[in-house]
Amino acid sequence: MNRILTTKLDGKDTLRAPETAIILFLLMITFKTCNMPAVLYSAAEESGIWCIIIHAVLDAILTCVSLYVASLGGIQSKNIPKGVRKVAAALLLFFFLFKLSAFIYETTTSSSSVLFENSLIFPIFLAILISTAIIGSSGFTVIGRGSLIFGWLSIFMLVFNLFFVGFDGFGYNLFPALRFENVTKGLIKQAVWFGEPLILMTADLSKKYTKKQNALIGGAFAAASLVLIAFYLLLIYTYGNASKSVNNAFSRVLTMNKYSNELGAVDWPMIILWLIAALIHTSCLFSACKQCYVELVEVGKKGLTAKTIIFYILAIGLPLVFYFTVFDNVLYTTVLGSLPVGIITFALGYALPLVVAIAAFIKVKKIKKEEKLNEVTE
Amino acid sequence: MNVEELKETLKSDFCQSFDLVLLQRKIGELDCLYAYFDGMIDKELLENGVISKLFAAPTLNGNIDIKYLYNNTSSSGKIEEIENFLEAENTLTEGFVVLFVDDLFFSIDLRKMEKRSITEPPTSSVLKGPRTGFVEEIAVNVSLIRRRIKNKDLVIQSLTVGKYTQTTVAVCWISSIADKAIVDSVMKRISQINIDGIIDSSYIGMLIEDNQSSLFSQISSQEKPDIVVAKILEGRVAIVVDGSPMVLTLPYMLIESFQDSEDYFRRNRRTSFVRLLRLIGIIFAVLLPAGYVALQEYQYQFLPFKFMITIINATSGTPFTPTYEMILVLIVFDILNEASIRMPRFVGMALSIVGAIVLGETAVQAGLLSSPAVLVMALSAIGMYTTPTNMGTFSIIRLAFLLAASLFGMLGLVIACMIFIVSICSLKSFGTDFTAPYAPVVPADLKDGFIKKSINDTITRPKALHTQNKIRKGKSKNE
Repeated sequence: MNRILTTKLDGKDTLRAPETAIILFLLMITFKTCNMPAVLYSAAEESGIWCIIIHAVLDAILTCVSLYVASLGGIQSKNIPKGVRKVAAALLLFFFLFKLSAFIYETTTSSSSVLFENSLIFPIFLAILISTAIIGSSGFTVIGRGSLIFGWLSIFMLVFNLFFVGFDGFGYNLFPALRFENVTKGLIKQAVWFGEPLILMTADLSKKYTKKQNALIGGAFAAASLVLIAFYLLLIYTYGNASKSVNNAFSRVLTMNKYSNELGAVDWPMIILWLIAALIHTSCLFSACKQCYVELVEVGKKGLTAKTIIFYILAIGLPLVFYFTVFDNVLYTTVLGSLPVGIITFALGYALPLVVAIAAFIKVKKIKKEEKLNEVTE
Repeated sequence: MNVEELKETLKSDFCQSFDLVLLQRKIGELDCLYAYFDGMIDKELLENGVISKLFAAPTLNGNIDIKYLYNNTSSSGKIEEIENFLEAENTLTEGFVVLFVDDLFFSIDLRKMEKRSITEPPTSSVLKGPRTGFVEEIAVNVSLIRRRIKNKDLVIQSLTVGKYTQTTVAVCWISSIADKAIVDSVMKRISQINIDGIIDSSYIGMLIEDNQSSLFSQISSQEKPDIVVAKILEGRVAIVVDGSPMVLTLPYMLIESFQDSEDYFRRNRRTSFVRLLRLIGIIFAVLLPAGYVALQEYQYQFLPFKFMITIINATSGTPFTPTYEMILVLIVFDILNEASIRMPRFVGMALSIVGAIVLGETAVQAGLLSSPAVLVMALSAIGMYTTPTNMGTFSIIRLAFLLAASLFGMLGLVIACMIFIVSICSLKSFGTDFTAPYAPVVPADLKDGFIKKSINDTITRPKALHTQNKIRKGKSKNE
């Protein structure tokens, strides 16, 4: 069969601004949902909510900066000086790999604990690794669209659940979380669950959107942050005695436990939603890693797939061997985030987009200036 | 070349085919030869309308009087001069009568082939709405479309595909509505097909679709002209293939699997309800066997306590694990399904009895299979029939999900679902997203999604199709 016959139609740009905004909104919610059990545990502690608010604000700033880079064509864009591009790709790759290995570990251990009573660790790890690598290879847009479908399913699931919600609100639960003490410690501890907007830097959103559309895309992220803060507050408020029942936060709030005799252990809709969110998150990290890796090794070289697989095995496999042998705690990411390597990585995550954006901004301005000069001389 | 030599050449070129008829006759004083294939022409018309009329034809200086020839045969069938011998042979294979006289070649259209009458297609029967179905004759099929769209903007262009079959393929669209890029792409892809033969329209469909390795077909196949016309009016392109009662329409979106022609002939609320039922049906069909295995093998704690006790009682004593049991039931069902489709109706009845009573009930009574497994399979099978278009595809997906669930329980099922959803999200049909209008969300097109709005609200054509004329309904006749 002639290959020409199967080529796709060109010039059909279907990633419109509203769709980009919806996808980004959903992905942001997804990224945070998969961290929810761990974040809730931490958020219920002293100053937890303040840490979340500060991180959410930092995320919003990161989003704006990353969106600027994405609007220029992402990390592979020629609008970024070559030297900065290569170094940024390498550092971003390190950042994403760090997060990726951490989240694969966390998803594996959490799945094993919730679904398999702490058994089958290695097969689960392999299943998650391979499937998320496959999904991640399909790219940001496709993952985003996939998450749209899961978004629809989740809406159905949540609407259904609302009929069976048993609220157990208790305002006192919020008090420790609202106290403004030990914020720095909390910030470092929670850093591991934030910083996902950096994934945007690897996406190519170089479309000619209008100012209104750009505002819509940025607004979607801001809305996601607000929704999350409200949701966290609601969860802490409603889960009764926070310190004791944190592990059951999901089942207490959004499921139908009081109907368990009729409907079964009904926290499963939330477990499945969490699982989907975790897999989408991991796949997005894979996709981001791939983009950075491709920038570093140059696209089109022979044996790229084989090289990528070997690279992934080394880059993700080795840290995971370390995690599995050293840590034995589902909530280990807080420990990891507090280690020097964690602090450096996350500090890097906040500094890098700014550096790249400034470098890109200067180069774009220079290009425009040259273009103007050429026009004048012509 | 004289007539005798011509006869020999034709016999030799067509390898002494027994159905090649060569009649040596006279046109005035000149020897001539009528050639045709038996069973493809109206013999009576040839004898009475052509041969007998031309027998007494005058000659002009020993040559044939072409004006007389045209005047006396055109009432029986369209007559055209052919340029050369090779083209004459090709015309012969298309079912025309070829007349060789005075070193000239003429084709006379006296084609009369046996064809099926227009009936209601057995797989698309409706309670309400048109009952006409396409047949195997391309001219009839094209006329069924043409008589419904009485507008000069309806374009029907033909192409010939297949080295040996020389199959006529007609591409239909409305020039003022359809996206030109899609039309150009369709024409280009069809014209580039290099294959020995086209037996059915599905050949064309498989050869021109975007992703040939996908489980899902990215081109729709329809048996009824009313559906095809509705799709052309939406801005799609239809492909009619000679010899096939199935007409292809494209671009194709997954949501079309959940739509039925009858949906447009009844109240929109009823349609929405039925479409949601179809969605639930297909979710049941695909996920229920896998979910049953996952819950039985791994996450039994998810089951309600009373329900779990009932299942434990029902499954205790069966020799197979839930996975083997479900795979066995599923394969038996697919075998029964495959057998019953091709069986004559009266044998099919017997097969149903064998399947339902002998196999199902006896297997449960003998303790080989548990009744929940049979029940789950039955529910899944019923759900599958709600969207018959993609039944084969969903059947494979169901098996894949089952295997994933048997390996990793709910985790495996979620992973399989994610890979499946991501794979369909990456599909395109001629530049249109396969999962539109839900991913990407096209708000304007949601009005004909799972929730259907009334015909009065259906003002625009599907935006996902990038049509030239976006408005399909004005407020008044003059608008």
